[in-house]
Amino acid sequence: MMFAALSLALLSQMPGVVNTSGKAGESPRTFILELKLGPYTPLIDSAAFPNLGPDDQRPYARVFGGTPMLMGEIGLEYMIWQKFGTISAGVSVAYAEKFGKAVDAESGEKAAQSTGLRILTIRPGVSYRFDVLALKHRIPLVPYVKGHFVTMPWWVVNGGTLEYADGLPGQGTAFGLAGTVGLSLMIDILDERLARDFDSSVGVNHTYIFGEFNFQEMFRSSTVPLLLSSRHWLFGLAFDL
Amino acid sequence: MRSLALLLVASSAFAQTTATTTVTFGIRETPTATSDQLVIGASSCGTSRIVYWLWNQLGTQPCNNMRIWATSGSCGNEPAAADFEYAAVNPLIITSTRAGSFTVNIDELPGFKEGTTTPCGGASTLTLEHKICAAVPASLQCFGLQTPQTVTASALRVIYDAQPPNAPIISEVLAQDKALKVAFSVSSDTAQVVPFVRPQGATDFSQRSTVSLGAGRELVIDGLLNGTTYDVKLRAIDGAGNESADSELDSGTPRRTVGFWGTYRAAGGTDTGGCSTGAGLAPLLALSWFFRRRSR
Repeated sequence: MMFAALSLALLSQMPGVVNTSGKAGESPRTFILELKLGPYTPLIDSAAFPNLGPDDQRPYARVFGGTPMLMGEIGLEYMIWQKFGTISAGVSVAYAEKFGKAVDAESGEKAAQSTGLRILTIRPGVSYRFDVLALKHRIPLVPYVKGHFVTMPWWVVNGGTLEYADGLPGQGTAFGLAGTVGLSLMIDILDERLARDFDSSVGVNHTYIFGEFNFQEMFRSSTVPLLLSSRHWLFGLAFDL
Repeated sequence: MRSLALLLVASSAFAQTTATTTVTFGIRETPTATSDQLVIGASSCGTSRIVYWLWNQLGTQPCNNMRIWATSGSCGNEPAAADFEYAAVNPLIITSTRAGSFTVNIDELPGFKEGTTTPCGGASTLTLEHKICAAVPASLQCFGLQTPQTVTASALRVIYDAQPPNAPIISEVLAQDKALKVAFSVSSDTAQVVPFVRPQGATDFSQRSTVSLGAGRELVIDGLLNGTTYDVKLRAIDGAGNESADSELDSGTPRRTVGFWGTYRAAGGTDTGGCSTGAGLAPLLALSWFFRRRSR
């Protein structure tokens, strides 16, 4: 907590971009902070598994029932350019996990032991927000696009410890690219006076709720990889700081 | 932005301040203890404990010695005839140090004195509560017109508990990979559970690490052999260190399990873990090279 506060305090000392679009008395916009949550289903079962017949359950569906993981993400972007819309660069960190029941090696029935897939996602990237309408014409919709490099450390636990199979540890790091298309709703319009107070007292220029679609494609390492690519939605809150 | 940073720093500092709030005037087991209880068992008989008086009154000054005493009744403003009194504390020491320690010999507590029907460690003494009390005449201005009023401390409750908890009840022993998961229930005064395990047919149990009770009522005994049947029993320990009788025996056989990674590999997955591909790092390396050149 203290580390985060000090980091923000230091960042706030960096030469910010002069606010070219804001109203008089509004503090400069420098950063975008995003908090997101949404379902994430890796496309593991889309691979062609040679040992499974067409009617056999795929690994993710068999262990986790095919339901999505819950992914939480936090992102911070620095505004590089604000003349016609906003271009930002930053990084986000997400975490998702899913637990199911391991199976008995002999009977194949569900065992009284949990097994889980845990995934960390680190996504540096750039974004463009078309916020001209919201900032200059009071139309509170901000469409945006993003591009990311994706690094995903992942690991599998069985009974609380890292699982091994065929002598190999169930852990690795996947790399890939992602594109995002989203739409934000600037909720300052709900109470503009409160929004101004939020800026003067805390430094939050604008607050948004948003939904975004992520198209994530991971590089394939082998013929039947543990494919963490996905097409997933995230929803959340964003703050212009 | 700067305001937000300051707010975060301030809220963090506030959280740290509130976490260390202590009693204004009281007796406690440690200077930072928030509980007013000290639970002891029969094993504490004949021993002593160091406890602390704490003075954090703002404005009010002690005008005379602080009296400290132990009672098996209620504290009141001063010790009763049957109570045990400890050395008084000078008012100058109270205001200058604001905390101090003294030794409580368990056998000297009035309820345990010779001649009572409740000696410490006695077979008939199962539970008994004492209080360590303190009081001091105090005023905003000791030598002014105001008459000092007796201020009493928040007492430390010394709870003697020689009543063992009930034996745990094992409800289920579940097979895991090289381990057994034991589900159980215990009486409400249980603070810890000790598992014991032996291969079926062996005579001696091996004691495993004591498990402190949280919300869960399950524990895992690991380091076992798959395919071997084991007997399991549990023992409960309460906060005073009293041990229960052993639970009824139950048994289970660990079995090899396959988790998600094993299921994926068995299906023909060819991922071997590690970094998926070195080529995946190329964009990141290119980006870092670009920014390094710009910063020169």
